[in-house]
Amino acid sequence: MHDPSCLRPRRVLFHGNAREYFGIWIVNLLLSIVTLGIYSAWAKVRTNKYFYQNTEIADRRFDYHATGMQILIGRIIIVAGFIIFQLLALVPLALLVVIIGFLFLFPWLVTRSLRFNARVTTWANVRFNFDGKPGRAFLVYLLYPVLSALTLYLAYPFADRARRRFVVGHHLIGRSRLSFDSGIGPFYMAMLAFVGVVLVTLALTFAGTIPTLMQLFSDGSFRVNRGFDGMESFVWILVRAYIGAAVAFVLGGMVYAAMMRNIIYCGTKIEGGHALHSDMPVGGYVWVGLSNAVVVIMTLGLMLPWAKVRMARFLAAHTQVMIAGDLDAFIGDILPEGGAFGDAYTDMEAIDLGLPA
Amino acid sequence: MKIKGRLTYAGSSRMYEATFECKGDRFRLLAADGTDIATGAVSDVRFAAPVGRTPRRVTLPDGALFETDQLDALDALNPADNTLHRAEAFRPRLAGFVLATMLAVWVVWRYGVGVLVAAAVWLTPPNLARILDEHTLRSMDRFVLEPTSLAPDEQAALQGDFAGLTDALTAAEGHTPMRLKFRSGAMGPNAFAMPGGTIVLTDELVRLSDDPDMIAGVMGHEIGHVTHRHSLRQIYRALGIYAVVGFLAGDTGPVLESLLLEGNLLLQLAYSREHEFEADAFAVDIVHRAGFDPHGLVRFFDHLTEMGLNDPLPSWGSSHPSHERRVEVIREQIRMIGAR
Repeated sequence: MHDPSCLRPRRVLFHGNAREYFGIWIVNLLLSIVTLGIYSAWAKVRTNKYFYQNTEIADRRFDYHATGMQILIGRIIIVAGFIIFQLLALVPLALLVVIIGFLFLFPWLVTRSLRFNARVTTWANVRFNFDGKPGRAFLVYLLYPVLSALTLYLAYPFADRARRRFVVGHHLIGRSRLSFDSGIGPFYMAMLAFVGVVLVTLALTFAGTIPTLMQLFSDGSFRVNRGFDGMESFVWILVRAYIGAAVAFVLGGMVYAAMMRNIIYCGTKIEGGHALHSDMPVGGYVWVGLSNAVVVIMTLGLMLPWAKVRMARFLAAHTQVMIAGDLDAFIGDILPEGGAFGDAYTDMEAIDLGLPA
Repeated sequence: MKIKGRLTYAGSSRMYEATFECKGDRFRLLAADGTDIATGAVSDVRFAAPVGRTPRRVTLPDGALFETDQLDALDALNPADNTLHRAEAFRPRLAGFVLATMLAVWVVWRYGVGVLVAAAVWLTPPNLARILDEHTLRSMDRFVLEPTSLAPDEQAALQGDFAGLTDALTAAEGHTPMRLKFRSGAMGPNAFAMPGGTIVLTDELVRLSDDPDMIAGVMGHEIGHVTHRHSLRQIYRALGIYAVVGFLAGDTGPVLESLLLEGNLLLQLAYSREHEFEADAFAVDIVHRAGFDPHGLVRFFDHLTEMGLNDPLPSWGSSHPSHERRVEVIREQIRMIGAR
């Protein structure tokens, strides 16, 4: 074991630039549309290659080795499964079977997804691996969150920590295992921050609508609303409530994500005495996210490559690897990746696997 | 040609200085001290497809990886077709790609979504829409609607008129069995149709005046929405755009994702001008066929305008056309029917 005081910090470097990525992005987009979406599998690979190969730790780069065909086949399987699922759900008795089947299928898909993504990723010609089992995934992705809901989410940080431990702790780089641990305090702080931001934002957005609401209900009925076939002003109020809630949850979610990222990186160790570190300012992350969104909208999406590169650079600049000695000792084997359907599934359902970006 | 770079053996993170050399169809990999590490046929070496200005990579048959920052030198050796990489270069012609992409996005928006919607409508089992109706009405009953206070004979008379209208439908128009429901509550004078054929009239609307032709006009309008499957189309359109935007935009980062997807869903669910005109036209036609006076619908709009009940949604949400414009179009249509 190395003495922790001897750890040398190395910043993660991101070398990509917006101009270069713009070309890759626009060609990807055009080909994806022209091929009615089929090319998007290859587009995903090319994008990942660009971002991985431009990310450097200690003079060595990452790489992404999945092929477009793997991704495409995975997507076709998942779409077919999804359609079958929808059709079965229409038959009342089959629905029960489908739901129970899904309880078994979901953890399996999640672990397959994590494993596929780990095995197609290399750093310095050493592959990552993931060896988590579906049984444990069932606990941390389904059972614990449900149980924490029974405590009105007061115990949610424990469920979240268990999930992060599972995800990080079953990753290997070569044969060296990663591990994650942290006290529960920071998890509660992050949740408190989330709840606080959501409540304050909701209070601010709804303060404006209260007079209207009072006026509307003052004589016991909606007076403003009288459109033929419309329900418009009723809809209008729903829309405002919805927008207010969306803003609150986006802001809260960003604050939570930023704090979580710091917690996870700072609590992650790599076999061999190395450690990860993240000192990302929460305000800075929110600023980059919000200003990116504004710029992308103002340019009808054309600045999206710039926004993605800017975010990648920001994240890299606040991430370090604390190196004990040197990083020469990682060794590993090449393992079969298995199908990409798990990846396609988590992609499509936008499931947060708990992997920090 | 000597290319300087770095070598890592298969599955090892240790990195060595190395030089890659090509002569004819043979390659040599030399260590920093000039000793041979590997030699062989160039055709056995796997060249990675170049991406951007990232270090170029070749994989040797034994899995060792050679990486260099002399991009052009290695690209010159790469026998693979690099059309894609060249197309991505930031050159003036990229502007052409941008224009082509914008055109393609527009085509998808204008036609692709329509095709998706038509396919989804065609695939929807009829009882699914009906189940959807029941759920929606139940939750509306809980939150916004109250039971009707119309007298039973009043209800029976309206149900009779409604049956008169639905009986006048052709087989093609009557693809969905329709039911008329009465409710009262916070929505004021109102009527709406749900995808499964449930049509709701509020007491306040029925009590606007005792003009059966007028109520028939409103019912005809709602029947038009069901016959043209407007709400189903709107739901699918919103979902279709949600899917297309999600697929085209890919991973867009934390804020944009919610904005693009959910904001769009809301915008798409707003009422559509075309659908209103279509339902008006259908109302005039069906009311006329069932033997009511089509001017009833005109009187309804005049009534609303008199009461100062115009489109209550300001600016962007205003997708309901103005009453004057609707009345104008309806009058024109009645004139055509009269001439026939």
